[in-house]
Amino acid sequence: MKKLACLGLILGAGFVSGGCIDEPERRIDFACADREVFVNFVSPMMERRCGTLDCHGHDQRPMRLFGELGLRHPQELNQTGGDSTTARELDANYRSVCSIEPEKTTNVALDPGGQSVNKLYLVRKARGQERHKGGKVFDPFDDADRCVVGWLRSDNPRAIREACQAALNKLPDTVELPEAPAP
Amino acid sequence: MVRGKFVSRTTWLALAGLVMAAGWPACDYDPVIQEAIEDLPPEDPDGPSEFHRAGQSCVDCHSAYYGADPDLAIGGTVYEQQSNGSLDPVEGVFVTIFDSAGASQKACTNSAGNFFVRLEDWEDAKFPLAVQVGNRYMRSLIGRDRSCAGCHELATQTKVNIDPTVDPSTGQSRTSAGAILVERSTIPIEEQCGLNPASASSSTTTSTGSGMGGSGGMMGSGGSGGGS
Repeated sequence: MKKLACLGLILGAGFVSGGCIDEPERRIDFACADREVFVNFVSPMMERRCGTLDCHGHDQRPMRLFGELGLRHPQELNQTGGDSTTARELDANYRSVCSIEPEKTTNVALDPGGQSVNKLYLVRKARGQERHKGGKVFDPFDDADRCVVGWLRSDNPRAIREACQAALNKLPDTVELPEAPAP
Repeated sequence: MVRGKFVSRTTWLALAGLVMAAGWPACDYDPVIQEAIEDLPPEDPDGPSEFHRAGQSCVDCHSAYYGADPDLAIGGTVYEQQSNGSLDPVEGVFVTIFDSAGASQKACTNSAGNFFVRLEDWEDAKFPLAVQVGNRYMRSLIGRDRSCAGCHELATQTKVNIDPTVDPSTGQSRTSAGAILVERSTIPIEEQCGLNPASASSSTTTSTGSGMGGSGGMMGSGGSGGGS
């Protein structure tokens, strides 16, 4: 009898815990800043500044970034230095950057122009305010910083494009970014 | 009772000492670099020299971690691809490395195609770095790896077998920029350097305040990374 009671208890616990696993109504929708702005302006800059093969363009690194001059997507057959960054790679970059801190990034996205952007790891690590293996790579308010922060804060796309283009122009292999949409 | 306590404390102290002693060397242990070193092919028949291990990651060993002499700030190998696809080392070409603070260093390739800058000659290099080899500029930056071969990995049969993107000649793939290539015939005279390997290999020059992007550095902020 005791054994049966134990078995019942175990099965009951199993049902309860199983019920906790799949509760679709508990899913949270995360938000992130504009995808088009990221793909057109921010990703090209981050690919070149952050996504080199020895930094975030590496299979074993967090915030993995794919790109023309760095790591290529494993489900495609491109080579480093070959074809332009593909749509699949840009999509992966967007998800990679947005998923570092989903909750905080959501708060930033829901508060355009807010100051909480300065608390994101993405920003703090690049500024050297948080431990970063690659050290300090942006100065606050420099072109690259304004490119990323402006996107996260949902600033005017034209200003974001201008900052990203200025940051790219300092690199050995610059690219001409597409025009920003009219306001 | 007192004696028992004393023995017990001594035993504990001895055990703690043993644990600390055993753990001390492990503090320096880096499994990633260690694995890279252990995966290196066997040493060249002539043994270590400035001509050895062409195309391999120099700074894994020539670093404070492993202690191979000398410590290197940066090192790599330059090749030319022949019409049959094979790679020949390129001797006597300048490799110029620009840092983010506006400083630069020139190194000259030796008969193995190897070039390097000693750490003592450039301890304060500010990453990211940009590189010119002969008349070619590297399109991307060096974020922090002081071994050029870290990103410019050559092909191996194992890699070719498992990765369809690997170019079996140059090693270029989805994870590697492949061999550092130049065309000898297009290298301008001012980018050529001593053809005596003994002098060429150790020839480095320094300059500051110029370089890609002009003075003040190409990146503005001057990264402080650079550990590999």
